[in-house]
Amino acid sequence: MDFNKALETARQIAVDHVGELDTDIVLVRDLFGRIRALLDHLPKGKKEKDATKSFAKALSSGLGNYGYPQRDTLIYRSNLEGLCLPEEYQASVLATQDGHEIRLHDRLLTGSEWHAEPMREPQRPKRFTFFSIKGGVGRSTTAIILARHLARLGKRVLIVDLDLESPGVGSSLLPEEQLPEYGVVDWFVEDALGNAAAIRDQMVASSRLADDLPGEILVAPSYGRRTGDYLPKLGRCYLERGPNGPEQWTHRLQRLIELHEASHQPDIVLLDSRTGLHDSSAALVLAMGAQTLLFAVESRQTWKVYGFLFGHWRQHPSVRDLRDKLWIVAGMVPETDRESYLDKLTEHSWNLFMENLYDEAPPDTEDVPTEGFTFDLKEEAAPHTPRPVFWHRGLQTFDPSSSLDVQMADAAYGAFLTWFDQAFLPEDELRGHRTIHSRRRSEGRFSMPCRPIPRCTVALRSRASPICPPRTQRRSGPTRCWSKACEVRARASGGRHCSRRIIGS
Amino acid sequence: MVVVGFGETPCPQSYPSRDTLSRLIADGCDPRLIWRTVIVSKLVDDDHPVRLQSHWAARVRWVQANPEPLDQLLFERDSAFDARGSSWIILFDALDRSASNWTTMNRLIRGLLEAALDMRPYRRLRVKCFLRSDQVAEGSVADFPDASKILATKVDLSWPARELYGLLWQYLLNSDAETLREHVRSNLGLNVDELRLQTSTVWRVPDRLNRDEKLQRTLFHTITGPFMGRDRRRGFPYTWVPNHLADTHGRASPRSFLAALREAAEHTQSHYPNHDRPLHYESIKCGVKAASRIRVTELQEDYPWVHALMKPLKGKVVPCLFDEISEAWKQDDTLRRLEHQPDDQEGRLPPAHLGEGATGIREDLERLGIFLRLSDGRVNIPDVFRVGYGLGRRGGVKPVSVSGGG
Repeated sequence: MDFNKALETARQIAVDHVGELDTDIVLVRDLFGRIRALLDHLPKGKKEKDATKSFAKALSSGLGNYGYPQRDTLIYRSNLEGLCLPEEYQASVLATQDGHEIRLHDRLLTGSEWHAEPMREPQRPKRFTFFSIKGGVGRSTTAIILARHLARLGKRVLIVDLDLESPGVGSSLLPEEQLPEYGVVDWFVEDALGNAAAIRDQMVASSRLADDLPGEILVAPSYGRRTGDYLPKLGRCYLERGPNGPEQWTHRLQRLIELHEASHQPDIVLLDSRTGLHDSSAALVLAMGAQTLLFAVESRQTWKVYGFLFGHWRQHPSVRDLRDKLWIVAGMVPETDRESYLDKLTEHSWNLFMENLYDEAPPDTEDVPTEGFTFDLKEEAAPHTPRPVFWHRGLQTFDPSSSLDVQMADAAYGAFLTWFDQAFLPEDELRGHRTIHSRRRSEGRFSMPCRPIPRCTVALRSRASPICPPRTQRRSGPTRCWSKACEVRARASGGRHCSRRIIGS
Repeated sequence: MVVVGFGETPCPQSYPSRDTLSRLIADGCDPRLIWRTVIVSKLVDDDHPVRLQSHWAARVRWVQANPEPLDQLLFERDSAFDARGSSWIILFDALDRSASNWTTMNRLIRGLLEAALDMRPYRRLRVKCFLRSDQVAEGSVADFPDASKILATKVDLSWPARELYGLLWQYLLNSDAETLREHVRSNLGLNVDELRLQTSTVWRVPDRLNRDEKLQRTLFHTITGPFMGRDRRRGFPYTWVPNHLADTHGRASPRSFLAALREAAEHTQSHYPNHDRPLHYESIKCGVKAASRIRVTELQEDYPWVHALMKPLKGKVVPCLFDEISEAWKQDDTLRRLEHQPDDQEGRLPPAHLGEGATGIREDLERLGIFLRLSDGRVNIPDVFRVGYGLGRRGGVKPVSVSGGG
């Protein structure tokens, strides 16, 4: 008996018994791989009791080390108090027999996240997750460049650093003295104690990277200036406990992001995920309803690990909802032999998607609806087609807080950004941006710098923006608040820069 | 002045037929001299000794025996055309019909290239040969001195997407309806010039519409709408159409391109009569599917053996191991039957590497753009042929059946 065999055995036993039991069976696999079964209700009457007993016996003895003692083998939904079980549809279906389903619910560590239900509702604002199997593939830098690009188009971008084990985006975009008071880790700790309200308005700051741009880049770093000792907080971040008792981590994260979205009203949210197979990144990929950019470099490790992930998703009942939100991005594409490098990467990426998430295209194509989710090796719009980010010497020492070499960014990111615009920004928004260009030219004001007119989106919002750091920061830190919202507002009222006291919130 | 040195239609006075060519070669004629004779016979007057010979073997002998007068003649003709400021061009086309086996074919092509090289010093006498890629790919046709000089003048007659669209505008701008011409003039601000010929009028495609891909895209999307689906994630018609008609070398044939769009237009009219654009994206998909059948037929005309090789693969699923394919050929006895095919009535060539067995055939199919060798060695077949030949594609998810939800 081994881990894999146990599941097959359990499945077979369930198939054999489901007819007599006459009810759906959920197999529950625990952290160690041991399997028991969840039934809807306690048995009634002799016949039912006998059937359950024989099922429990078979399961317990059949599974050996991977089973539970017979008396603990069956659990009943009606007996579960406070234990948070997944919704029916979150468990993958192993078999259907005699009109009943046999499903599997995997309880990994915090782990139900890999199974989390993808959100079906279209989101406002648009969310994007940046995910990679390993570090150093340019994931965070790409997020920053994209944020700047979007700010140039007049977008209000919120970028959240969820790479808690190795925070980067926050410190890249915000020098120490511009950090907000608190970070993401603080929120998770305070929230578990029902204390999140105390810090909720002090977790975001505006980056100066967008100072000369019409849009704005808001940053929610993983730690703030008052976070203090990071490690003890980090260790408590993944608690599956919210202010009202047990709560899946996914839901907690969801609340955090919604909170930020509600208070800062960004047009676009970029979530920089932790590297590798961790439950926090799973939540980001699946449950946030985000378009997910999967960074890949051409290496065996990349495809092996993505293989695990995709193989898991393949079983997911909602595979059809999640697969069209995944996009491969080729990070650090080398300077030489680009074409053959990308060809190879495309092939591996195609294999990964084809074997796991794409529809099979049966040979008798005449009858198949054209809508099948299946793509040939070379298809521009396919999820597997890598969108390249080119390696560039200059980007190795890239410091976002200094000015950005536009030419360099174009060479490295041009193709990626063009794709992003085409795929995710409505054409009218882009066109709107361009018309400003052309109108200016046609009016003959050639002396004007050819940049779009800043849109004072912030000033036009009716609600007060809570992005100004609180008073304490102004007292202790430099006196200037870098928030663009403040700047715009202050300019409009002719007053001093930050005036949070007057605006209130 | 343009004359034909070889072509599809038989014309025994102008050039030797396939059978004559094969006889001449069997009798030991140098292929270079055969083609030189053809070229010369087009340049001389009716009463010239070359013309007066009763058959091609005699003409070749005459050319071989009289090099000096011919040099003189070619020089004079060249000067005469030069003085008039005009050129003389001789075309060699349909050369796949000049021989029925590869040994003869290679010798003929080699001879033709040599003859063409001989003509290079003349300023106004030009030789133009239309060759298939498999006819010049062989090392055996280009192993004579200075072969590279002649091959350097090779022009690849491929159809990049930009030119396919140029062709489309050419057709559409010359349609009876004024709609597109009016749109191009008033909305794109381009002039559509009118060329009056004796009996008809031809509208010329504005240069920018032939070159500027952004503009082409804008205009095409005016006809199709911006996306290949309800949203942008399914791609953009401008690139989608040529991509889905392309072989593994990225080549799409103009005939299938136009056919796909014609089919799409008819489909839109019958299935989406109230659609606000002439082409609905679902119709484009149907059109491309129909065009892939046309592409298969086209291929069949040029390479009759492809059909024999692809038929046993029907029902297979790609990408797959090559073993699976060679096994299917074995079961079907395909290769042996190709080898023993009687010198087929139309005189078409067998696959170039038939002699090397299944792996040789694989190379031939790869060169034709039907098979793609993946880096792990497996075989993939692009959609345009996969659908046309009735193969499936692997996938991790069973497609949603019509009755099922999802």
